[in-house]
Amino acid sequence: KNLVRMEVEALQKLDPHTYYQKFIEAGVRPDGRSFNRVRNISIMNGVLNAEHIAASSLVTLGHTKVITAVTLQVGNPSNSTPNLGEVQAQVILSPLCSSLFSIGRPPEEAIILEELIRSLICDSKLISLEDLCIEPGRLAWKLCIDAQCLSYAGNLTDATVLSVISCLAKIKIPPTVTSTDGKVMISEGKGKVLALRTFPVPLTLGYYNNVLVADPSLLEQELLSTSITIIQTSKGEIVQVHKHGGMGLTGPQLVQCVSLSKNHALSIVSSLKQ
Amino acid sequence: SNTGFLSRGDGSVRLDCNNSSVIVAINGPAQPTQTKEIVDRAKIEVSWKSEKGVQMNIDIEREKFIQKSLEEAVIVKSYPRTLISVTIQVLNEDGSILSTAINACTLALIDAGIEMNAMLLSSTASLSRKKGSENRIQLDPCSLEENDSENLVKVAILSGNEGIVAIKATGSMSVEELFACLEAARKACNSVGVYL
Repeated sequence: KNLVRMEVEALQKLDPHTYYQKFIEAGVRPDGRSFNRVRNISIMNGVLNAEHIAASSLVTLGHTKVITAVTLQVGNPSNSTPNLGEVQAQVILSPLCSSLFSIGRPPEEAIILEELIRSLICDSKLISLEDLCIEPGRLAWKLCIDAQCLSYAGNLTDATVLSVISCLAKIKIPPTVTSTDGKVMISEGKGKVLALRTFPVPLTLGYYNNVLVADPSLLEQELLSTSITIIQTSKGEIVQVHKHGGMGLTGPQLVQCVSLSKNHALSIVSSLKQ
Repeated sequence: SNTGFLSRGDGSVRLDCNNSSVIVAINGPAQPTQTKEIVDRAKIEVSWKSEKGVQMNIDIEREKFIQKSLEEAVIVKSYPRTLISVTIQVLNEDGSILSTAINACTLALIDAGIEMNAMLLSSTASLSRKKGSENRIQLDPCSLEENDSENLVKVAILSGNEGIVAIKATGSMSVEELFACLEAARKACNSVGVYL
């Protein structure tokens, strides 16, 4: 029995494509899931309670874990947009989450995810940057989104985006009082809830030759012919679609991806309501 | 467009699309460093140099977008253990810069004589909703139009192929609007293909 297991592990390491192909032909994936099944998701909000943190969220997607904290810092708005605040995102991938990463320059994957988060918030207008203004032309809030991966087991994108959006849904802008010398101090009273226009849900899908698999695991990520990330709300509004190259997808394949993404969004939103 | 005008590279092109202007230089297939070598295929490395010189996050995303798309277009299996370096220098950015750059890469690769499956073509569509008038899809928007629109859909396809290789869609649109933009961009890519 041990010999069989060694052979299977050897096949996975030496010829991962043949290994994976055997599962696909049997209609299942190496971790036992069906092609359309997304791993179990758990979202825990408010896990970090320090005073300076406006919101925090820990998302677990299978074995992938991401913790995001959002903090608010006061800064000067840029001259071209005097009454708008700013959003900055940082995604940290370190040896803590996987031996694939090392300490030092952020890997390309982290940078691309930061850009996705920025585009999701600003280009898709999830929040109104005017809500972050304190004093037009002089002071505005900077929303700092800090996403740290704790465990890297495939589909970092979905876990990170979910945790960022969960955080954004719970932010209160504290009421402030500006002193005569320009210092901003938090004053008494309840903060104003930062309005999130809608709650979009991400889904990353991949194609292995022409077989669609949802929520790729770490093993699958390396083998897929292409992958596509669709961020959609439960009402069918599409806010982001990212497909960075790879095998071309036809119209019907894209339609299938979009509809799977909508079903996923519906199920996430309904389980969050409970 | 102006091909073969840089003498040091293996292939080069300068492409102007209205006011957006890029230079693409190709070096390769060449000897890579040990870490970058892939045993059975060529490695394509893309370097995006923006107008302002400082490399932002979005430039790194563009590099990956283009690299993964070029890997579909170039017959990488023909050049094992080599490195094909693509350097994109933006001279002037006035909208649809990613699409301009991708089309320029295709021309430069042809100029360099690198074997390709098909031409990689790209186009950008913007969708804006104005009160009181119809939704409009604009192809190949300039900077002003891009900033003004709510949605941008960038598409890369292989000529003669039905599938869409790469998509970057941002904004907020319904499923029908998304597919309308994808279709419009795809048709535009075919016209770009005819021009190239």
